Amino acid sequence: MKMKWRINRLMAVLACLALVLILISEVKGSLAYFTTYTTVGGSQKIGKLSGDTEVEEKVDGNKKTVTVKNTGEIPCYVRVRAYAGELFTLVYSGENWSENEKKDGWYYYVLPLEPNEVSAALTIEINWDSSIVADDFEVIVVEEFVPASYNEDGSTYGDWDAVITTKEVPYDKWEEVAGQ
Amino acid sequence: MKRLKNRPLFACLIILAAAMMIFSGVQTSRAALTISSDNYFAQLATDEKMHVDLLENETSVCTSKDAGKDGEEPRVGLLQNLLPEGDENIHPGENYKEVLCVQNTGEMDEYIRVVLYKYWQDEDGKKLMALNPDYIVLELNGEEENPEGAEEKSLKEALKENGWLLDEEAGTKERMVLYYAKPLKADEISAPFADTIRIDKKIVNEVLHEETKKDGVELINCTLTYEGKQFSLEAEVDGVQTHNAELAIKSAWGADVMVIDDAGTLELGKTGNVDDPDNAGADDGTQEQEPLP
Repeated sequence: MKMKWRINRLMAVLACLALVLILISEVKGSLAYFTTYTTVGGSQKIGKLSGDTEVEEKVDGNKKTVTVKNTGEIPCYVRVRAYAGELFTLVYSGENWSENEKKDGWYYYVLPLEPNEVSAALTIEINWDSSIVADDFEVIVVEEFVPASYNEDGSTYGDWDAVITTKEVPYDKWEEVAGQ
Repeated sequence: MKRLKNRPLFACLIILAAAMMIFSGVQTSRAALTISSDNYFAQLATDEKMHVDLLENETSVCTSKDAGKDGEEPRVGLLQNLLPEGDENIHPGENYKEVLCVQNTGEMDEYIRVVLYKYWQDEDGKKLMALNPDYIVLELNGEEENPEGAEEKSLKEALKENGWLLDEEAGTKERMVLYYAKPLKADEISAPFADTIRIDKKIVNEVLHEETKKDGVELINCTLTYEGKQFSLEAEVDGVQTHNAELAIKSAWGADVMVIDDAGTLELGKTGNVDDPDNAGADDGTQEQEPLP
């Protein structure tokens, strides 16, 4: 009888303990905050940023005919000018070739040149007074290009005033340098 | 033993008690560790009824329903359809459509936080910390054109108009932290927090100038810094329960927010009751919340 009572008492204590523990664990559960989470990434490669062009000249009498071909991989804008002595006058003509507002001596092709596209011809007529000039002479044609720049709406233009900023240290060492 | 067999209820209770004791022992040791490393302790739980999706140009690119484990690399999904058909190259300076919204795809209302990361990588995917994340320009322009001459809205203002709070203190050049001010209801789609992405045209003019010596000859090598590099965008979207919002957000995200009205609108900043867990009952915004002195 004594044994039975002891066991009963033990059972009662354990039962109470169990109840308390269950209550405590319930309280803890309600303190948890519900959250959710997701994550995603992605990247895009910047392609070629530099281009290349080739200029072709043909001489026919007192005329030079110049065309420019885009031999690079990205669209670009080109400009051409010719240099001659002061005794010579140069007259430029060509479809889609024009001077800019500043009249800086360059003739600009107003359209962008797509890769492998050849510009319309720019004709440079060279005039001189033959009573003064009798010898051979040179007229030098210079061509320049810039990669096409983009506006926010996707339209293009040639940024001839772009300033190149250079860094002397390879990018993987910038931090080392900065840390010194 | 026979007596125990005759009393199945007692037997069960004994086993239960033993199990609870062991279990509570484990929990205590875990709690002690957490407390020692943090100001305060809270349990976070995921719930089958809570979910979020990130929408890019109206298409879901990720969902918490198949979220990876913590620490896993985020899945690839963003920026994949950025270029219009026929275009192969990103044009620096041009705006591309990148409308980013969050959708509550669960059954419970939730508060939303978005953390955006932008950075550069080389061809092999190695992160290039030295390249400028500012050249990856994520904007919110809205559909309406700004009137001529009007001052351009700052990103923060534009976000605020769309209901997003920009946490500037938590942000860096690389990271942007945003909170959606209103609770997002089940199935609801938030207003966008971005609608265009642009690579600054300045990248075209940045050149790397390297001098090397080979067989006694000095070589100068100029390369375009950003040519062939990859720009990356990463987004983390978190949701937390709306009940007991201030404490839940403090616990889940470590952020101090205030609920300022009955609609549950959030504002960034500290309130009096965040530091006082005993005051946890006030989640309906009706209680006065005085900021700490």
